[in-house]
Amino acid sequence: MHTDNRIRNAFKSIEARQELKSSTLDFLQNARQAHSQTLPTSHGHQKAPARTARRLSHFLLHPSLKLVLGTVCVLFMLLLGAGSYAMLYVPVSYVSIDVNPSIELSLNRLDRVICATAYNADGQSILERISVDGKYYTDAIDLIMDSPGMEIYLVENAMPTFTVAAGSNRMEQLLQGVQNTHGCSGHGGSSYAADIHTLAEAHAHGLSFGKYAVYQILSHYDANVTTQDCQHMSMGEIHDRIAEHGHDVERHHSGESDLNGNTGCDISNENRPAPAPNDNSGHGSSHGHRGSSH
Amino acid sequence: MRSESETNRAVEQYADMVRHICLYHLKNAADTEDVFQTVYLKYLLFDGIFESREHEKAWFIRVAINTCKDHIKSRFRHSTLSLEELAEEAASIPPEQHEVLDAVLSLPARYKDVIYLHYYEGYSAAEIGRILDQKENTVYSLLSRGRTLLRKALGGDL
Repeated sequence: MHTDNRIRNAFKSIEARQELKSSTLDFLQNARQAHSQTLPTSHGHQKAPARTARRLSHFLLHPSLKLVLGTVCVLFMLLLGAGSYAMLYVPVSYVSIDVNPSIELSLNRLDRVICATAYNADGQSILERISVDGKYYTDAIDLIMDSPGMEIYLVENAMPTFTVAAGSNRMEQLLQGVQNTHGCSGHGGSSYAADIHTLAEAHAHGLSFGKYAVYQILSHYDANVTTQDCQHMSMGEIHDRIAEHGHDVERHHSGESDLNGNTGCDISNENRPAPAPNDNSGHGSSHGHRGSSH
Repeated sequence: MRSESETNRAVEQYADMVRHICLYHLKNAADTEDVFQTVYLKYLLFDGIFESREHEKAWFIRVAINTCKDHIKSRFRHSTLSLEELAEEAASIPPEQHEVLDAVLSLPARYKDVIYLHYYEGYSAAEIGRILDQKENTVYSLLSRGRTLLRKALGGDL
């Protein structure tokens, strides 16, 4: 038998059953009802089965409406993705921890550490032993301050310094959090607020912004000091140099007042012109700290 | 929206053909009923004008094939079937036709449409090319390879 005939005969033996035709005609009738219910003049129609209405609604969507809905969905997903990325991975505030090791924590909107950066070999040595990524900033501070190897720097007059750079709406809360950590209060640390815009300037000089802020104060009294000098000095030594000039850095000392009896002071230098990155002298950049006696 | 008399006529006229296309693309009676009804729902909502019955038939073929493919994609189904998998369907098919149908069903999806349209519906390669939006030479190749596969499956008895 020829191919045509064999295949034709095989398919000829298959017919659409009467019940399939009947169920399809019923389905089409329901679809007509469901369709008429979507029109304003549809009062009085018997309600179409929900399944039919659902299948019908899929086909009734105009292609352009489908395109719009699809585009809206894609945009929504992109916005959601961008929002999540911004929430989790974009740094919005920073904490600089300076003893001898200099470490900077970049925090996201949830105050969790996105990245920890060491600004000297001692800081690098500490970060090689621990991981603070993803940790809440207060936990990260405690972990760093209690980490093995840190105790050799936490000697008398070590002056652990915690500097916060953040938007004005977050600053107070972050400072409060820092002051309440065991890492700060348990080791006689001080906390300061710094202008977030000084970060790039500090990094251009190879310093954490916490150490750079204290360098700016010292340079105000000692014109010969450079950022290179400060890179090799501990915070205790820089504070001692400032003290030699008869001054002290104002501070948010942990529950104590500073030597001048002032509390709540900061070393922010908002509204002042930024010096050129290669200007190591610090001249012409008043550090803007309030309440210190000059 | 098409009238009741139009849809009734179309069901009577093309039901067997749509059923055949569903048979060699889909796996079971439930899928067949879903796709079968969807094809007619698309017809009910189709606002276009058919120039002739041939035009309408070609529209049904195209829509039935595409709806089957969409259904397979949406359910991650395998495209190669056997009559054993179609137990419910097989019961209604005379045993002497099982061998040929099984051979057609086991063809890769791209051959099934051209084999069915050529050998059962009697379309030429050029007509199949227009319906399936493929080049005529491609249809010839698919027909030739499909025939070879069928011959192998049926032990050269084709």
